[in-house]
Amino acid sequence: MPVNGGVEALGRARVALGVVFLLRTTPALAPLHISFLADTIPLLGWPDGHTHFTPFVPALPAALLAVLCIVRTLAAVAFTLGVHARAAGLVAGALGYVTVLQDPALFLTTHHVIFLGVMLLACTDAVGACALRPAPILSPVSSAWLIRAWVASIYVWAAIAKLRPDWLDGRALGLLIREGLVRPSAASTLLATDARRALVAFGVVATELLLAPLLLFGRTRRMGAALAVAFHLGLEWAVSPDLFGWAMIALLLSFFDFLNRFEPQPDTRAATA
Amino acid sequence: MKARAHLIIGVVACVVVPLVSTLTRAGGLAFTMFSGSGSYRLRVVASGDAGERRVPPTAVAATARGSIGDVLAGTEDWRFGPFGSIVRRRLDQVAALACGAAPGSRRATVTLEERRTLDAPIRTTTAVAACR
Repeated sequence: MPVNGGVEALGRARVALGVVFLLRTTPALAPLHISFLADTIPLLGWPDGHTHFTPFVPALPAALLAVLCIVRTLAAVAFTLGVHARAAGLVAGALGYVTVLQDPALFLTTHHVIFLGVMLLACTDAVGACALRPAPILSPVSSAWLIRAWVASIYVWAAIAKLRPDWLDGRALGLLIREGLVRPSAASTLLATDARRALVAFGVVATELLLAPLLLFGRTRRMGAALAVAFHLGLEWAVSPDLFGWAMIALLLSFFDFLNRFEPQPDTRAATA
Repeated sequence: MKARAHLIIGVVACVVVPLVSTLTRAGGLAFTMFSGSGSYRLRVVASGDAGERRVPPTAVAATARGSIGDVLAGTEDWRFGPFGSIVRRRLDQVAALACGAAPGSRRATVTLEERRTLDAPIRTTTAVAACR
């Protein structure tokens, strides 16, 4: 039964997503002057004294918000290192929502994937591997399936959101180009004409729909994960969509359970006998 | 956690949360993966003793600053972005901010036009604030 390799893979995904969490919520990448990370100084969601839209969740005093931003960061560090990672991940993810939703304009799909991903990994045996203080392994098979199913569902929902005329005929991509959100070299080649934009738009939806079954079936799982990584690297090159692609690649690490591939499997007939 | 807990968590995370978010079109908890093509624009009118005058939304943005300023800036014309629904739900707040951009006014009227997609009909919402 694929156990050890799956838990190790989940552990690697936990570390990787923890790193992405910290990169997206702290000024660790500030020296690179990446525009979409400007809101991470001093920490994402830190009270800045400016006017914000009134939150759709209970509003917090500035001092409490600052404390929660610090606690969130410490919890994310513990989650990444694997020290009380279950509790730390749940705290980090929950405080991620609480702090960022204080400003509704700040909340993005990238945050949602990172925060929920950290909370889900904290609920699995990802906390039992690649950790300074590994937690007991309780249910490795259902742990792996929870993360696999969730990652696959993200692609399904993403495809469903694009099943509409203005995406499928390429006009939405044209809008992204007009807004300067697409790399000029991609806009002038791959997406230069209406026909090419429609083809690429259709290809994106088809890829997302294809990824879900590929990721869920055992025989195609690694191939699906490799295709998904390539898909995100392509999007990263073309549109650099925040750290979304890197968060997804971190989660996709849970599909690469190399130990199970290379270690001899137990003889189930002998075990039964 | 055990398998039963994982099953329940999985159903909530994979189905319930994104489905509810998709159906209600609120909250941004569906995984839309940068598929949006929504846009919005604002019209701000301040009225007082001297009559009515248009106030550029960018002037309101300059008064507000911060993320709310980022969302309102440039909305004299259609602006592409996912913020139309947030502006609609907080249009009273925008109207109150418009008072600050039009000193001496007695009332600020803010009209939001938004399109959820390129083909969607224009949805118009208006809010009025009494200025002090």
